[in-house]
This record gives sequence, C-alpha cells and structure tokens, in this order.
Amino acid sequence: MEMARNCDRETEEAEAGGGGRNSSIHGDVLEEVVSRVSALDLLHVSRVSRGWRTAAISSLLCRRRPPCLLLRLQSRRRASAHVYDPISGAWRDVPIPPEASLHGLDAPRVAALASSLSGGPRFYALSSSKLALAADPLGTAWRDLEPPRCWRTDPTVALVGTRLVVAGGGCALEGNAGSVEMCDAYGGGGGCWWEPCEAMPEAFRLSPAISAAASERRLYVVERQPPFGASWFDTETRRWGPTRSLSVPDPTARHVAIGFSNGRLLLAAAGGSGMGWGWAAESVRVWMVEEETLEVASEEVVAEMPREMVAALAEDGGGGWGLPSIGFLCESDFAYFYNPVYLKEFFLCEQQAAGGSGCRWQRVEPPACVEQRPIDKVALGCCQNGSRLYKYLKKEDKVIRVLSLVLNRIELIGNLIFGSDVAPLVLKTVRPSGQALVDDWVCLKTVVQAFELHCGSLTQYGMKYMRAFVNICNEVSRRMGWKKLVVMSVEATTQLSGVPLSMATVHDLVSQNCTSSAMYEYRWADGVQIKKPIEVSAPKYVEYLMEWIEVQLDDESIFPQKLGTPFPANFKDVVKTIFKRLFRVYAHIYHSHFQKIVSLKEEAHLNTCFKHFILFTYEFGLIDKKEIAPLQELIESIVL
Amino acid sequence: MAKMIKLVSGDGAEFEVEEEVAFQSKIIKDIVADADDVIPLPTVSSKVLIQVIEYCRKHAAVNSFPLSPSSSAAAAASSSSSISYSKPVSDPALRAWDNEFVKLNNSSLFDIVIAANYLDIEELVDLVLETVADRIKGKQAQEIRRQFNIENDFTPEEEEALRRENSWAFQNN
Repeated sequence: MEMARNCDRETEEAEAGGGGRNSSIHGDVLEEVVSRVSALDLLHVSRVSRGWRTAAISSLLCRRRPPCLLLRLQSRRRASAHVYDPISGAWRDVPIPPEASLHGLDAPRVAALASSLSGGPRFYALSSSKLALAADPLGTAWRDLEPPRCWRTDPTVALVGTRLVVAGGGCALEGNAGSVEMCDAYGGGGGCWWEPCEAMPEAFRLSPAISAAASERRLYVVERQPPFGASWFDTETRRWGPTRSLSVPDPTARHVAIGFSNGRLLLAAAGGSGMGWGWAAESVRVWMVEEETLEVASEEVVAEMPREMVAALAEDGGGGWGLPSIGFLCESDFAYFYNPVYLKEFFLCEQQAAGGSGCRWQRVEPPACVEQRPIDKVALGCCQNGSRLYKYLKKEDKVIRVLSLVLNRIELIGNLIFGSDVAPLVLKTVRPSGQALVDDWVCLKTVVQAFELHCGSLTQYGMKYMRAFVNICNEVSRRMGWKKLVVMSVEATTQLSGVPLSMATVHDLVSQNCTSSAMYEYRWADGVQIKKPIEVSAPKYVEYLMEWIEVQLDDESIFPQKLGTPFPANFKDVVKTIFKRLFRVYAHIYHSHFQKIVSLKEEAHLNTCFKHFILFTYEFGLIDKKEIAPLQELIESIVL
Repeated sequence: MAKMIKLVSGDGAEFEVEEEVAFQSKIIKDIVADADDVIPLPTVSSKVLIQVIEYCRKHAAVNSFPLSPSSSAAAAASSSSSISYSKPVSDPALRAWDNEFVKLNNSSLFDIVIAANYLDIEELVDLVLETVADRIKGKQAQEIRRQFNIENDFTPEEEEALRRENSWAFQNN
C-alpha cells in the first residue's frame, strides 16, 4: 500500500513544468476550488484560460460567498469608511470623497438603511436641507435627492425594492411623530416626489429603538425591546399590516433585531438572566418569522451563537452595560452580529446549505480605528461582494505599495548617512518657524532628481516625504557636502545594500554558516595588493569585495566628488567589475544561505532586490552571460 | 469481529475493509444498507482506492467519537481567522497527518477528489479542494498555468483587453 503513495510523493514544485500527465481540472471540481480562493486572487485566476475565467466569474456571481462588512465611522473631526472582506480576512480603508464627509451644524449624518437591493446603497445621509443616497454599497459616491417633507431625527429609513421609505422620527409636537413618506428613489428625472402614506401604528410613534428589515415589497419594523411590537408596511397598498407583539420563543429575551435575507424574515434575540442592571446576555438565537402574520416559527432555531462568543459580545470593558442591544446584519446565508453600543468584535455566522449541520461561526477583529474613541456615530451594513468592490480595494493596495517602497528607500539612505540611531531624528526634524526651510535649493533639487533616477518616481504619494529629503539635505550640507550625498544615494540603491541586512550582517552570516563548497569556486584578485587570483573562502571573498568597493567609491578619479568633473573613460568597466562581483555575492547567498534568509523572513525582500539588480544589469549590459549562469533559472523566471 | 466490506476497484482488484472505515463514504453506507457486501467501484482505480482507504482508516478512528455541538463550535471559533469551508479538524495530530497526506502532485490530487466526490466522502473532498486552492493563492496567471499545466487559450487581443481591464491588479511588486 505504501508503494503506490511513494510513487506520487512529489511536492508541488516538482510538478511545475508538467511531466506529460494530463493534470487539468475542469467543470465542477474547478468551480469548487475557485470558490475557496480569495476574491483578490480571482482576478489572476480569470486570466489563466477561458475555462478558468468562466469558473472565476461564476464563482463571483453565483457562489455563496460571505458578504463584506461595511463600516462608517464619524467622529467630530473626520469620517472614515472601511470594508471587511471575509475571504481574505482583511479590513480595507475606502476612500471617501470630500463632499460626503462634511461637518458642521447642518452636516448630513450618515446612517445605515435597510435595503432589499443587493447591489444597492447601504447608507444614506440626511440633513434638514438634503438627503443623499449612496450610489454603491461602499458609499464612495452619492446621489442627491429631495429631502422628505417633514423634518426628522433618526427616522427608520429603508429601500424597499426601488422605493425609499422614511418612517417615524418626526416631531411629536407637530403631530408628525409617526409620519411615513415614500418616494421612488430610482424613478426617472432625478427628482423624487415624496408621497405621504398611512402613519405608523401608535406603538412606534414614540420612537423607541426600532429594528427594520426590507423585502422587495414590504418594510418590517420591530421594537428592539419588550414587548417587541412588530408590524409591516406594504409599499404597494401604502398601508400598514396588523400590529402584534412578537412571541419570542425565549422568555428571557431582552433585545431583538430583525433582518431579511433569502426570502426569509429572521429574528435575532438575545436572552439571558438577571434583573434590571444585573441582566447579562447568555444566548443569542435566530428564528424565522412568518411574513404575513408575524408568527415566530419557534420549533426551529435557525442559528445559535456559541456561548463563548455571546460572552465576548456582551463584554464591554467593565462599563457594566452588558449587552444593551443587538446588532444583526444578514445577507443570503450569512449574518453578522455585533454589539452596537460597545463596538468590538463582529461575529460572522454561515448557515449551512440544506442537509448540512447547523451553522459555522467565526470571529472578526475590528479595524484599528474602532479602538480610538470618541466616535460619534457608527453606521454598519453588509453586502455581497461584486467585482466593483475590488476595484476600490486594489487601488488602495497600489497606494500602500508605492508609499512603503519610497519610505523604505529614504530610511535606508538616512541610515547609511547618519547611522541608524540618529537617522530617525534627522528625518523627522521640523525646523522652528522663522528659519529657512531649505538651506540649499540646488542641493534639494539634485537630491530629488538623483533619488528619482535611481529609486523610481516619487509620484504624488511620495511627495509627503519631501520633509525627509529636505532634512537630509540640510544636515548633509551642514556636515559633509551634498556631492557625497548623491554618491551615497547611488550607493544605497545600486544594490550594495540591496540585501536588507547590513554589510556586517552579511559578513557574519556568511562566515558563521558557510561550510558549503559551492558549485562554482571563486577567486579574488584586485590588481593592486593581490595581483594573482587566490582562492578564498566565501566570507573572505565578501570581506575583500566590500572593502574594495568602498575604496572604488572613495576614489575621486573614478567617482568624482566635484560637480562638473568628468567620469573616467573606463568608468563602465569599473562598474561592470563591481556588479560582476556583487552578483557572486547574490549567487552565494541564494545557493548556500537561502534557508537562513527564509527563517529570517527576508526572502521576499531579497528577491525584490535581486530582481532590481538583475534588471539594472540587463538594462546597461553590465554582466556577461557566463557570469550569471549560476542563477540562470532564477533570472529567467524574473525576466520573462 | 468487525464486519468486513469488500470493495472492487475499476481494474478488478479487491480490497477488504472494516465496516466503519468503509462507512466514511456515504454512498457505500447507503448501498450496504440495501444490498450486499461486495461493492464494485468501476470508476475508481486501485491506486486511488488505496489512498482513499488509507484516509478513511485514519479518520474512522476519530469519527467514532462524534463531537458535541458546543465543542465543534468551539473548534470552529478557534480555527484560523480565514473562513474555511471545510469542517475544521480539531485534532492537531490528525491535521498534521492530513497535511502529509496531501503532499502529492496535482494529478493524483484530482484523481482522489473525483473518487472522493463519487464516494461522497465530504471531509476528503474538502481537504483536497482546500489544498488545491492553496496552490493557487497568491500566484499570477502564468504561474498558475505552469503549476497546473494549463494551456493559455486566449487570443492575444483578448489577453490585451483583459490586461487593460484589470491593469491595476497586475502591477508587479
């Protein structure tokens, strides 16, 4: 039995390149595999071949994928929006256009609305003069609408089909307490004609906390606290249905919330024990509710939250509030639970398909910004992912990448010039006002040009590091003259420090661990002190090499310090020699020390540096083909 | 004395397995309930059947002590932060064994998943699909093609259109 397995015991690396066997997957199996792949990876999957593209698209559209969680935070000074993608398990910031984050007396406050449109808005913003509806679930663009006729505070707002319904929240003194208005939010003409409808039932008029859910045709409302009065509003008839108290199967239930998904009306209830302030939540359960009669289907518990999660949900850092109400967002077969007053973790529940067993639960960490108080207002929604969502996510990625690349390089240069203990101070210094910002503008311009030439364009994102450049310039022109700075920059970026470890560390690494006899032997001769090539061990080679390069760089006849001094005729040969020798260091590291690099988790950085190194040498033809033979395969995978 | 079930592979080889091992497969469980103890499996080759039986044997021991609902939920809560569609295997030793088990090349994995799907062994199907999905994650299209030996059947114009459409997604580091 073992023999058969041993024949197949090849790792995936060995498989690369085929082997002649038909190892293609297709059809259902491919779709199943693709559905387990993160949405960001799906973009690559869709480029593999036509069959894979079809599988990727159908996975995005048809498969059950957990919905994204949308979070908007509004504090006194700023608003921010975030989205959580459960597949990749990460929070992303969503860029908000400035108009949507207005603040002031009449500032629109963004809140969540119940919505039955799967790709539609989850947020709205209402102020006395205007109403805006988010054009997409994330809230990156907004559509302005006419505000409803009555002024309202904290109304219940829902998008029922294409109709926007605003209920309650009106001023009791004016007799508008329970007024309901409805308009067609997506009707033609851009305008929105608000029709008054039958007012809310008596029980809801005093604006107790209300939980709302929307189906294609009806708005359902339930009081969040006992006696759990419930009713529904039909947008076709413009009338309210029967009002009744929901008979929650859990007699200890203190808080409820409703949601509508997959054609079912769901009721989430938190039950517990204790009296008055001593009440503590012990269970959270979900039942189905019959839409017409609002009868709770008490025989079947749709979902039950595990005990530890209920405890975590109710935990509020000692504030003693317990679980003051329950947040419940549901979409298709998934639901998010959270504590709306003390926002901490979220709990995602996936209901198994028919025939499966119960539900799967998972905790979701909140983004870092939630920890920072005070937050005035929080609005939460969830929506099924569409490919549009990923446009925003990926754009953020690019910004982050560029920023971190630029920052890394600037820090590296700072460290080289000033030493790593002093550098951070220098980079971040801010001169007191009254002093000139920049001592030498010519210096600054040259530095930035040199940086861009060797490290890549700054782009608009890199401009924020201008202060660091200025500081470097000022310090250096004070200490040593800017020409050396330019040389240092070049040194920093032309792969001398390409490996993220400093030279000393490379040396240590090589000398400590080097017992291998490499496939390719190296000999050292520098033509000055050592004329005949001598065989040296790898550590010695590196040592000789680094010293020699230092000498070259300090040599004014090769690397001129004065502006205007011409470079020597053999400059290119010198550079070629430097690079040829540097390449050997890379080759040695890859051949003999890669495992150590991996254990230090530096392999990605090493690969990136090497990639730049190789592309640079290719660009200027700095190394001969036979020299790069030791790493030929690696290079091909990069360059092609 | 454990009851033995006889499984006959596509190429005629016979394998006797204990009942509880064979019952990892829901299909076999159903068949045995109705009919007799010799089950022909014409679509499954011997080599694959051997591997599947090995998996079932290992997992039969675990499944004879079914987890209670609360502890399985706890297992779900304590598993890694990315939501996985397979039932989380809570025993780390078993998980380690599973990881070793799937260190196979892609063709073998596909054969196993097709057989496991046919035999309706949910856990094995999930395990293999997750493994394959892991081999896709984080890779660019060209690497995926190389990994799975797939031919690129897009025309150059189509490729160009795709590239433009999602250009921001394909910036290399």
